[in-house]
Amino acid sequence: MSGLIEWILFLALSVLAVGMAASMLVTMSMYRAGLALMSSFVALAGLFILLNADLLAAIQVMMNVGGMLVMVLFMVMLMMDPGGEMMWDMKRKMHMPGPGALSMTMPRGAPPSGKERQHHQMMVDMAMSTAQLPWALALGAASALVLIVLVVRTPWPFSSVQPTQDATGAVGTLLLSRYMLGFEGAAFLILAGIAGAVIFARRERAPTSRPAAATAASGTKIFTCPMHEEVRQSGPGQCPLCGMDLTPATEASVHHGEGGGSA
Amino acid sequence: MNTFGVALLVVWSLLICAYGIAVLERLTALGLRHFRAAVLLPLAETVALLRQENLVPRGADRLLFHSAPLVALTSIALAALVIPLGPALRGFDPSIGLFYFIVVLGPFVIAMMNAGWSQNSPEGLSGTFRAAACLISYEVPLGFAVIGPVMAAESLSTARIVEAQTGLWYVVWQPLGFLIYAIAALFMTYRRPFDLPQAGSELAGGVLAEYTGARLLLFHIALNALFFLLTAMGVVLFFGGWQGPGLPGPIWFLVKTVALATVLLWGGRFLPRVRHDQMLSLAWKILLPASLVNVALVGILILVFPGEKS
Repeated sequence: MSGLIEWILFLALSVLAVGMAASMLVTMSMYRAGLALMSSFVALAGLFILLNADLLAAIQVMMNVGGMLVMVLFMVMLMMDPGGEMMWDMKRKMHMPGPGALSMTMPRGAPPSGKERQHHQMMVDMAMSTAQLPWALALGAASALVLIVLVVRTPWPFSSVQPTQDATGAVGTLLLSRYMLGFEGAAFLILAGIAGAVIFARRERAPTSRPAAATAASGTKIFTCPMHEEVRQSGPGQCPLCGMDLTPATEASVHHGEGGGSA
Repeated sequence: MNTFGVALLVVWSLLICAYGIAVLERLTALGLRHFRAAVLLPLAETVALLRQENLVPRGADRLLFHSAPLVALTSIALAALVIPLGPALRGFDPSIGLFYFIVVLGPFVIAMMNAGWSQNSPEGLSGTFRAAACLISYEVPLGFAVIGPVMAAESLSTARIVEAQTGLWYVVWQPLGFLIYAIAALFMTYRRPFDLPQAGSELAGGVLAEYTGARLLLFHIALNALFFLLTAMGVVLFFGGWQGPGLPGPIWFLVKTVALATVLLWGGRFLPRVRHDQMLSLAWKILLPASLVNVALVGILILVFPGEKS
């Protein structure tokens, strides 16, 4: 009985994992794609629980829920089209049924003339499938077939060892004894990556050549920050508050600043 | 049948806890003189929200919009299972209890962000990004803050952590860890002064801007229940859980949790809302180094006084 339930759970979780991975590929919304990938990984965590690997399942969920979410947000923020929301919206307004990529196929034939042309062009722009789609499908199906054959043909070893109750302690001991070099090495690599990112993202403090030219042209003019009007100094440089290049103050802002100072 | 009973019990107690937190929040806002109003207002609001029309904004991502409150409540109900109310009074006690608690609360943030994203409004979108900023602010300090009790108890099991505090509560020698945990708990439930994903006066509700009626009620229940759970976990980690003289365990546990929740809610009212950049620099420049110092201090104390471990 419990074997049957295990089988049903296994099948349901597997279908969920594969289905969510597929829906990640066909959805038009970047945000939904990220969520679908996340759900696929969470379903995998369910499979880990079936295998008595609770700790691994918890780590899988934590890494993928938090990490994936931040990754999705970065994708959304870095894209000009926020998260595919534009295409998702167009699909909604044109009342196209089904998942985006499948309902928006590449229009065939030569572009029509006249009024229909704009619509055709839009469909070409929006199509997520391209002329290479049949080849890609065939290649994907072939690799899937190879993998399935490999899984079926491999003589998998069966372990008769009872799963330990306190896996956390065992994993911790192993990480800090047998696999210490790899563990600490990875930690060091990540630290180096963080340090590198901080150095790359640091604001440039070196004086640029542009303000130097401005000095030559304008003697002892008053310079101010575009963002902070109260910052005034007699030469060019960087704002002490925000680090932006100072610009020559206009008469109006000078008067305004003086008025504010006396009041 | 037993599982069903536990599930029903957890849901009912979460509802009552959410109501209790709502009353406490009003009490800290209005003062003790308005005790009757504080007790009755949450009930009146519940009835009002239930009578309200259920609006779905135009162009909303319906799947995410409808599922968000359910995901939030589910993750909180799952997290409630590992809180030990008494020596043998809890849903279940996995060996990775505390880790499970933090992991299962992850989808709650997703639900809040889905809520903001799916409603197709600028307020909601801003709320989504602020919720994400909150997530990357509190997650790491929270993780390091709870490592202290785990190191001292040598276990992730919530019951074992409580039992290890028989002689001395961890808050006595890990005050820094408790402080970081409390701030992270305020972050996580979007309470003052870290309520910027909702930001009543500024974003008109933020992630919940377009929610009305029963769905909004579900979100309020979820947020209040989450606050109760986090203070309860704070009691488990730093204030000796159910332990205390005289009274039975669950009563002590409730008294401590309510006291801690009152202090947090009351203290938060004195601080202005933190801006998002201030929040990030607070988390990464102050809380994170402080939590690392806490881990180092706890390690040194455990090595110097080996007797304190048990």
